[in-house]
Amino acid sequence: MSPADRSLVAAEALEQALGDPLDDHLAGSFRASVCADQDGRFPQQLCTAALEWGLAEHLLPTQLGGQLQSLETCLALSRVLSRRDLTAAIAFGASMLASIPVWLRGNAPQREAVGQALREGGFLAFALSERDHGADIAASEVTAHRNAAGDWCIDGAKWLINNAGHAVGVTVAARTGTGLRGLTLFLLLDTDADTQRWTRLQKIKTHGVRGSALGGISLSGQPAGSGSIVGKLGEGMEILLKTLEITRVLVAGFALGALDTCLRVAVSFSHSRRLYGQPILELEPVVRRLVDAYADVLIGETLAVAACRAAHIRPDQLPLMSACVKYLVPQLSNDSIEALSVVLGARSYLAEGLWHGIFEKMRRDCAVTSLFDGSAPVNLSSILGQLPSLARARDKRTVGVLPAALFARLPTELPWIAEQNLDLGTDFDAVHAGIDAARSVIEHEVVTEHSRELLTLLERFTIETVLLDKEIEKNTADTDWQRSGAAHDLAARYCHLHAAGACALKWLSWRMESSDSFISSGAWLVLCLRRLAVRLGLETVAFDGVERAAMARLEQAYDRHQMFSDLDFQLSVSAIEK
Amino acid sequence: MTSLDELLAIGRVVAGRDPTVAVIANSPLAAAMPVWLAGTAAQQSSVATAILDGQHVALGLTEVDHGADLLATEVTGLRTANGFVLHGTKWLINNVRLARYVCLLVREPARDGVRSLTLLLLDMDRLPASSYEYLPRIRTHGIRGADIAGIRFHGAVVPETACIGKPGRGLELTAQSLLVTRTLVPGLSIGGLDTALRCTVDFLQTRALYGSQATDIPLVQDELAATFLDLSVAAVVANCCVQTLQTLPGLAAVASAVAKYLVPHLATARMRTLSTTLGARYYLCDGHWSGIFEKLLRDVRLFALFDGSEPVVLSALAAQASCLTQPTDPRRADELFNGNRAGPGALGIQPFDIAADDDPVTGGLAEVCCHLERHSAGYADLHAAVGLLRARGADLIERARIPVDPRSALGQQLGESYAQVFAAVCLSRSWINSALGDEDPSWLAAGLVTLLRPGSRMPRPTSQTLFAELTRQCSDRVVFLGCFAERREVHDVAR
Repeated sequence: MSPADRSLVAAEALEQALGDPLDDHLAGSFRASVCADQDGRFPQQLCTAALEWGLAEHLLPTQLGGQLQSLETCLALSRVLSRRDLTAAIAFGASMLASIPVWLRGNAPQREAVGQALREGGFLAFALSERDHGADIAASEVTAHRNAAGDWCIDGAKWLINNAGHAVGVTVAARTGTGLRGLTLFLLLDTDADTQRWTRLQKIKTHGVRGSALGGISLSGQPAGSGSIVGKLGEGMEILLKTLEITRVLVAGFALGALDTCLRVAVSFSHSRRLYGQPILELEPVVRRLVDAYADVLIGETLAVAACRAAHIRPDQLPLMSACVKYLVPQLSNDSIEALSVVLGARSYLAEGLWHGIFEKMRRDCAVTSLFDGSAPVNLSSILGQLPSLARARDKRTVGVLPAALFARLPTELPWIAEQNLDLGTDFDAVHAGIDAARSVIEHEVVTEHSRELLTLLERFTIETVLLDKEIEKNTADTDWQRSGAAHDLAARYCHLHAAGACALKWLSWRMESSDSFISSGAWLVLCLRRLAVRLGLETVAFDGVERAAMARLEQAYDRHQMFSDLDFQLSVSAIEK
Repeated sequence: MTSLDELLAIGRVVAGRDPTVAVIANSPLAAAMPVWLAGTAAQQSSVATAILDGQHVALGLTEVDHGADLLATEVTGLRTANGFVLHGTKWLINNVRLARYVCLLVREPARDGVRSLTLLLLDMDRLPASSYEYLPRIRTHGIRGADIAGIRFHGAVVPETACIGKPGRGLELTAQSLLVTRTLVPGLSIGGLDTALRCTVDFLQTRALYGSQATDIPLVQDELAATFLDLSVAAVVANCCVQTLQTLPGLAAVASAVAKYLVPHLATARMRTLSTTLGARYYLCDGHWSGIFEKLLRDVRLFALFDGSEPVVLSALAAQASCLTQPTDPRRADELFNGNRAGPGALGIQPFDIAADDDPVTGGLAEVCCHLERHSAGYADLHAAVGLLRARGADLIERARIPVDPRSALGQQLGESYAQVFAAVCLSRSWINSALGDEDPSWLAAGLVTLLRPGSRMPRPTSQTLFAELTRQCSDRVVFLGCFAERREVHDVAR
């Protein structure tokens, strides 16, 4: 095993504890995952197994004696869970979403109480959305007012809330005033059983993650003490936006886990399936789809890991990175899963059979990652709002430089997230600047067989950025355009350019240290940049030594039972399979 | 049943309510297609009687180890003095557990190569129960109400007379049967997309977001307009392809593959993007309109997959693309676009050639481009779209000259290109010949671009006019006419 990647230690331990997902007897098996989903049943056994291993400690910050220290560790843990069952993964994700506001701004008694609830294996819910106002938080109708005794009373219903069906605690966003400072977060815990603090609404049946305890809560004037306010009165919007910046990055973990499994079953099928006298793995269109999905994993991982680290050491970059990650990684994953369904053919349409029909479940489940906690349109709007600043910074050459730790191969010990440094907008895109940085390095220093193509690709991205920045400038005053499809498309394109910068920075950092010739030769970067360029319509699809090397690399990961990743991550495999 | 385009329209209406029902209801035609194309009078009569009596038919082609690779068929029909003795298992067969009649594709061990397959008509009432068993019903992603299972034969005997068409011609007859069936699949995709669009519009029209009605938001209008455009384009292409079977049978093999690739692909892709516009509701089983969107999303995915998946039909197109290099007369395709429909009695299904010799539809590309160029003064969009069509057409002809393995990446790209260009020419020629030919060509320009460069964003002014038309049709009609239907068209299947 390579020098300890500390962020993976916990995740690898959880992975071994949960066992081989192809071992039908295990709670962490695909079979258990599909069965529970079919019945609309919450996968409690898998969650219990994870809790028994010690997952709760990873939801609690070190100040409380827990092990929540690094977001990157959380990302790795989420991939281990998601690759088996997204329903379980997002249940813990929802608990995290509800507890982060408390870690950021809660007082000591609140933290103790939440810590205890989680340690006891309880789930929490973050009650934000309402039936008539989804992402439109400002239009919230759940209100809180003070009664004669000075207690806060909360009225109204929250709907489409994950974990609502079994939550022991709820973080509720309620209107206490008008405007942006009119929202306040309240923490309600079901401590003693005699009065239920809230009423649970009926379970909501969904397309995917069918076993989720998704529902709603109804509050009818129940008094909540002033000690139940998280942070201060009127700080709700600020706290939740900062919380979402953090949790949005972790959603990438869910999408990457799902994609890993879908790619794995597609590779497995491609090995055994013969058509027209040969294994389908001999067909270039099949290899193309597998390689494209693999490239998407690598790109997604690059973005997500960097964003995790940014939360700790470059929070000024987080608003942009988080929105890009939240938009692009689920998009890449969902698009790839659709593409892989063509490889599987009819089997993609079956809810049983090959690996118990896990592909069919993952496809429905993974779709939720583009939808919740900041849907694609919401994140694209956020990016759009930041683009003028980013363009100006590029124009004025005031784009700062990032610390090496952000894209380094091995993570360093990072200080916990300093909430006061979290901002709500990014002024310059230091990640995107990786495109120029890579060009410069390749032009002056690096000579590999891929240098010329890398320069061509990087040049394309540079030109595309110039065009995009011009388009932004042209339309600054046009509010109609800002809300149009064309504007959203532009923001989506920007995410790809940002991703190109991220891949460039990662490669610059890794190429010196990596013993993997795929990386040091530059083939890795060619693969990722080509993929992004094709998605942008800047390049036509190529198939040469780079794709063949990528295929070999992904086959090797498959044969060695490793996660599809640049990280050295060993998966659990039962003796029979070996 | 009188005409294929009427069938297409009916399929659309039924699928717009429930694609599962459409698939099940379709089986008397689709599953029994070999009988309609090549059966004896006696066979046709028996099957027809059974169907009119409410009984089911199943088509037994696929096996667990071979999807579309029919030559690898392992179910055998050994010819003996008593008839055919059947051994082996068919898998993933719709309606097989309910069927009175099964059209079964078998390999005759005594035969070789492309003449080794024979289609047999099984009367399940006559087969002893001990000679076969059903495999359990299979759970699927969509059309969950359909009964999809398998059947295993061990020594079942069917008489010599069970042979459909000539023995040893099973491969060809299957291909000819699928050719017809595939041409009708677009109706199902369009029906599903139609309802999904209506559902979305209906929800958003009453949804307040950020202080105004959701349908006032430009992004929402753009997305709905794009869906409406794709739906409209799909309807035109589907109709042209069906018409080809009836008026230009030599080109049926191309039209069938174009229809089967393009429309389901477009519909599935559009439903995904439309789901983002509908928002969280799409994900709910009990969402708007009883959660129909969520169901349609799963159901519609079937149509790109069954009876000829995308790789299979793209290969079929690539394999006959050389027909593009043969001299042809575009005039022979004029009737296709005249808007004249074949009268009653001209059903137009027959055993079509499984590859075209020449392509008079695409052969008209150059003159279409010239015509549109002449009318594009002042319409920059159309000018650009015509340029794109010309370029793509030229590229297609170049590629068609190079021999290529249909299953390779180049082959798949050739097939895709052929489908897109063929469809674009259909759209153009229809438009030119219709009353719309004198109107503002912005919608045509957008339609061409969406075919040749899927995922493109149309100019905002075009989006606004399309959105207005969509809204108008939403309130006026039960089924969308689309933006390319002539205003004074009398066809009104819905009412």
